[in-house]
This record gives sequence, structure tokens and C-alpha cells, in this order.
Amino acid sequence: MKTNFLYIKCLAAMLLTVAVQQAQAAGTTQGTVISNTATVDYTVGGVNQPDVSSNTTTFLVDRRINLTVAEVGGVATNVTPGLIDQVTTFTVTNSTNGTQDFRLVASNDPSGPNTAFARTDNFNAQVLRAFVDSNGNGTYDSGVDTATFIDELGADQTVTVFILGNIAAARVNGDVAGVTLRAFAADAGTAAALGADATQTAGADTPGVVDTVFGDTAGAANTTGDAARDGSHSDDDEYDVVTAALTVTKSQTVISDPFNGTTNPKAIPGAVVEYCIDINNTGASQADVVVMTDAVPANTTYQAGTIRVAAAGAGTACTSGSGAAEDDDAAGVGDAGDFNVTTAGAVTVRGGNIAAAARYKALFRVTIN
Amino acid sequence: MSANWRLRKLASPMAVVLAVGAFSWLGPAHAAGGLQLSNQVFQDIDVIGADGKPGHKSVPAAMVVPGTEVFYVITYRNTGDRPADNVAITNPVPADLEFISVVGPAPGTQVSVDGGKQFGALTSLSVTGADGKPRAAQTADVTHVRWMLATALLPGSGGSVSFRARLK
Repeated sequence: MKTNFLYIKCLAAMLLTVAVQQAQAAGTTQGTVISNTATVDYTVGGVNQPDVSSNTTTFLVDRRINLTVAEVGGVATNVTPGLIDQVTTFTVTNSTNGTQDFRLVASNDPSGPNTAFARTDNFNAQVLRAFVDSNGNGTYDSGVDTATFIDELGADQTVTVFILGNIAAARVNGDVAGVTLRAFAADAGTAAALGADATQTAGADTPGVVDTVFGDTAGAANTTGDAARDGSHSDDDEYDVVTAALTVTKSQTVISDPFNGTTNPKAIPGAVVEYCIDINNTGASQADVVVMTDAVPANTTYQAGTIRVAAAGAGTACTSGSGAAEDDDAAGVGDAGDFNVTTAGAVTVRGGNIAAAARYKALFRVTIN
Repeated sequence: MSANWRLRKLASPMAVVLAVGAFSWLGPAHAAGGLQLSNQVFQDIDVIGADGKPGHKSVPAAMVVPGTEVFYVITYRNTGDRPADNVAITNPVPADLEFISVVGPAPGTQVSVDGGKQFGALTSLSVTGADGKPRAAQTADVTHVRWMLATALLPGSGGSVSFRARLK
């Protein structure tokens, strides 16, 4: 027998000849003994002879590790800055021909494009954790879904896993954090305990013992290190910060002065100046309970009764006289503004809720001292 | 990566055969001579030859996972002193294996799809489909393979037949 043949891992070729799909079924259970016996029937001189059986030849079914991690939902999880325990959801399917444990790793994706939903990652969610959906309801139940690894998952069985992350309060509308769940096949056998990572049988096979072959595919594109046939698989998801983003623009118009009246008035002592406050929500979420406070500028005197709320106007400008007149006190049903009551020396306007891509404008007048 | 070949021990002892071209008999002893059968299972693997080029080799089946193809070789011999007629070798396809094909020219080959009650050419057989209606039998339905020798098997003569199957 020639000894200069190298016994390479033929399994790559063997497996490639089989249709490699991520959802390939587990197949015959590892450790099954496959036996074969043939028989022959014949006659001699026209007389039927007793059937003769061959020997029985057997082989052992080895373990082929395969698994699939898949994001659930098809959309990013929208989050608000400052919230904790924000959830992205995945499934893990065990396509191994035997029961496995799975070690779970939740990680932040690196900054850059090509997140799960084709956006650009620019921040990391904090305190990333992975929990198994223990009661199978598809929803993260705090205090109930506490297992951090998958225990004794049978062949062709699927379980749901959640990644939880915290969103820093400093994040702004449009920020994106990509995250990845990677599952590593581990040896099963002891309930409630995570086995060691499965290893592929190296070198020569051992006929009387169940050997192991890795048959998994490569995971999500931006998971560095998750290659085909490494005993792991991964998929990615993302957190999209969706919140309000308010931009305040203040402008002023000289309405009149003591000498020119309302014809080309100048900003001289005694002139009446009208301030326009434009609050623009450029975010993707409604801003709730907006309260705007504007101190009356030095060297001016607030002109009583000139607050107007919910004014109209193009762009950041206000249309003079539009909106609703508002008295200066803070009383009354749904009072939307006051002067020198909520905040000393300042006009306060309560704008209520400002929807995404909407504006709120207010006006008031002062005279130049 | 080891560079040496060792004969593999299978669960039932038998010699590694085809690559070397010699075999020994291990069939059960039979009274007063007569036919003897030997049965072995192999799989194909890829190897890199001495020249660095990839090639194939048949080895005793030892690393088999779902999807792996194996092939069985049944070798027969007339060890008696009289010719054997109407020789029919039957091999039930093992559970958990899916029949693919017989290997090589095998005139007189028949299959059964009903557990060995009836035999015939695959194209002539039908099974009851999942919807309760009959449909043409396919290779995955085969439960038994049978080879029928066309002529008498003379004393001292022999041969082999083979079929391929895939582990489900």
C-alpha cells in the first residue's frame, strides 16, 4: 500500500457533494449502527438449496454539527436614548444529528456600513447580554428568561434568543448600533450545564466511536471570524435610535418705532420688536410636552399681552398676528404661555406635543428701552 | 496530517479490499460447499496523490454522517463442486439509508418497493403516494435490491455486485 498518499480531510468534498443549505435537516441520529446483510438463493441440479447469508457489515453514524442563527422580525429595533434592556430577537436552530448545547456570544458590530438593515453603524449598545426564551413565548420576560446558554437542544429543534442592550442617553436620532448573535456548538449530556465547545475529529477517523464533523456555513457578513465549518453560526440585527430632534430658531422683526411708525421702522429706543420662536422637530419621533423658555433680552421690556402661540409661518419665520393670543398669567384651562410667572423675566410657551417633521411657532413683543 | 494508511477495523472484522485488489472470505461456513457471500461497505474520499494532484480513493466506510454516500460490495463464490443455477442475491436496503443505484452494468437487476414482496424494474413499479394515490416508484422508495445471474455459476467461479446508497 502506497504510504505517500496524504489522508486529507475528505469531508469538505463529501459535504460539498451534498446540497448545503442552511436549513438542512439533521438526519440519522449520531451513534446509530447501520447494518447490512445479503442473502443468496439458488438451486443445484434443480433442487432448491438453503439460502446463504453473508456476514453483517456495519458502520457507526458520526456526528455532523450544523446550526443556524437567524434574526427575527426583518426590521431594526427602534430605541430611544437613555433606555435600558432594549431587545433584538433571534432564533437558533440545531441541525446536528444529535442533541447539542450552544454557547451564546452577543457582540457589537464595528463602526461602518452594511449593518443588518443596510445602515451605517456608529455606536455600541452598552451592557450587551444574551438570554434564552425559556417559556417559548417569543417575548423577553425579565426575571424569567435568565439562561445565558442553550441547554440540550434536540436535533431539528429551534429556540428563541434575545440580545439586550442599553442605549446611552447621549445618542441622537439616526444613530445605529449593529449587533450580532453568534452560537457555538457545545457538547450536551448534562442538563443545566453548558458543555465544552464541540471539536472536530482531527486526522484519522475512529470506526467504533462517534466522530465529529463540522457542517455549518459562514454566518453574517460582518461577523469577523465566523467561517464555514467552524462549529458556529451567527446573524446580525440592529438598534436604530428613533427620537425627536428639536431645532430652535429665533428671529426678530422691528414692527414700529416712535418716529417712522410702521414704515421702515428702525431698532431705536422705543421701537417695538416682535420675536418669532420656531421649534422644528427634525427627528423621527414626536417630541412630547415641549416647553420653551425665552428670557426677555436685556435692554428691552416685555410688551404685555403680546404672546401668541401656535403661530403660522413659512420656514423658520412667523406670520405676524397669526396663532392664538395668550394672556400673561399661567392660569386657565390648557394655558399655553405666560410671562414672568413660570420663569422670572422670561416668556414661557407650552407647545404640547410636536410631531416628527412638524414645527411649532410662538410670537411675543418687546419695546427697546 | 498523517501520511500513512492503516487498515481500518470495522465492527465486524474483514479485510480492506478494493484498493489493494485482493480479498479473503469471511462468510459463514456452509455445509458441503455451495455458495458463499461476503459483504463490505465503502465510501469514496478525496486524496492528494504523490504528484500533488487531487484524486479519489475508496476506503472502508468509517466517517459517515447524514448525506454521506456509501457503496456495498457483495462478493459471491461457488465453493461447491456442482454448478449453481437460478442464483439470486438479495440485499435489503438498510434502514436510514436511501438507495441511489446499482453500480456497474447489472442486467437482471430488480428492486422491490414494498418490503420484498414483489420485485421488478424500478420503472415498472408504483407506490401509494402521500395523497393516497398511486405514483411511479422512485429510487428513494427502494427497499430491496436483487441481482439474478443469467447463467449457471460454475464451481470455483464467483463475482461481485454493488449498490450505492446515501445515509439519511
